[in-house]
Amino acid sequence: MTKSLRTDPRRIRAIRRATFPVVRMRSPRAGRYHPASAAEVREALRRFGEDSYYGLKAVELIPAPNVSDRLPLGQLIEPGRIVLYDQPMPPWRLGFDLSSDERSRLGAAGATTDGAGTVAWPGLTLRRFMLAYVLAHELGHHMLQHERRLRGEAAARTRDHEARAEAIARRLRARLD
Amino acid sequence: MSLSIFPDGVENPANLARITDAARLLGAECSSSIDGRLIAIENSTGAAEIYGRSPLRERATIAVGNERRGLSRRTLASADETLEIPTQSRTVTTLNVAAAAAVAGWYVLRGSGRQAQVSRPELRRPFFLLVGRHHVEVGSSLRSAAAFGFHDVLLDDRGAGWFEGSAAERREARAAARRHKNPPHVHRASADDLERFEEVVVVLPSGSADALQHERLTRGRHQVVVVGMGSTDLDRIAHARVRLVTLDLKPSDDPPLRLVASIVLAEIARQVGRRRRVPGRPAAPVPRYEAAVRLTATGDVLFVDPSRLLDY
Repeated sequence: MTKSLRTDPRRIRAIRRATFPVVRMRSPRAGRYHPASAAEVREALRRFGEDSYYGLKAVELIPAPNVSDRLPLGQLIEPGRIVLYDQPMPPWRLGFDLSSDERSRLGAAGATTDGAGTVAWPGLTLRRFMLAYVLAHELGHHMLQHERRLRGEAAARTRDHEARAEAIARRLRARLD
Repeated sequence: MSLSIFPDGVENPANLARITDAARLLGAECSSSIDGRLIAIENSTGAAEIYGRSPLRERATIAVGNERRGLSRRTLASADETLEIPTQSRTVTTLNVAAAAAVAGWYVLRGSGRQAQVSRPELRRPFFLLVGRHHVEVGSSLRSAAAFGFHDVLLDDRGAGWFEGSAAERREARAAARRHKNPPHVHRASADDLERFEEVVVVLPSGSADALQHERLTRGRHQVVVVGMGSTDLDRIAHARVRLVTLDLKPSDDPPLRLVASIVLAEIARQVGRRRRVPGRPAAPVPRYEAAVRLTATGDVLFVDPSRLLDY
């Protein structure tokens, strides 16, 4: 035994072991919709590759919770469950302007914003945003947690976790383009 | 009463040979078929702990699974009961398959009390001295030590090559120990170091002595438990502080160290126990990472979802 099957890099282990996660969709609430369908999520996961979904159990498209301080887009719930929330039909009329950070984040994904708090998503940009930004970012969190094999604990401080997840998301986005 | 061990899809011939050794030491047989009650050994949801069982009174087969995939679905589905060997490490959560077979067989045959639940188990954990002569056996024993929650292990390296062996030996030993995720510190030690401890418990695989499960192994840093020591060393260290205990296995010239050490480590882990949950303290929250668009004017503006507005 000169080399253990458990010591292989994640990419090689994932090809050998990963099983495709369940992708299921629940109906959106009235006036809202899921920008990316279950089939499109599956296709995105295939293009992201086995190492992205290795250890992931399910991706669920579900109605967003009723909160007033933010627009929930998606969430990783450990271990191995990602939820993507339904969204209001574009354009989003928020009634007030977003912070410059949020504007630049949405702008990078193809959205156009104005000073009156309207966020427009031309064409299929919202679908791409949900797959290439939200799903990829949550997969980044999942890969960090899964690789550390921690049970019920965070693999890094929240700030570092977010930064590393975004770095992984950038790599995954390149596979989608 | 008879026991069989059924290796379900075990790939590594060396592991198969050690499982055969485990069966021989336990007085069982290694079988490719299931005879009597089927007991699956698998860390799966709903599995009962191996501790806290009564001794076996009927024919039974314990099934251990493939090194990577575990037991097949077919075997799990047909099992009469599923048992797991509780581990205490965050990173090393499984034993070598032969070690698991030995631990499972030993407890199924003899039965035991439940695992203790105490407020500070680390204060009760004794030191553990491993006397090893083969690098893979030492590595596999260190893997078991990590799995059962040991942070420090004393190693009397007698040609095992853990510290100064060839590159190939050290690589193989560390792979067997799952060293890349196995945190315990391995300290060089020898029989002379036993003088430092108030009580020395030397575990023999077989022979006449007190049974291991009747010996108290919870005296913390004052106690050391020794595994793998030969009869010549016993003559050297025999004094009032040394207690001999036996696993009561079938006599064998050279029982594999990983099997003997894993049984001893499992018994130490049972007696030392695990941390008792403090009543009223909630479990740690599950990590969640949310992506959302933060709204800046939350204090001044009430964000109303269009669907709620329509309902109104």
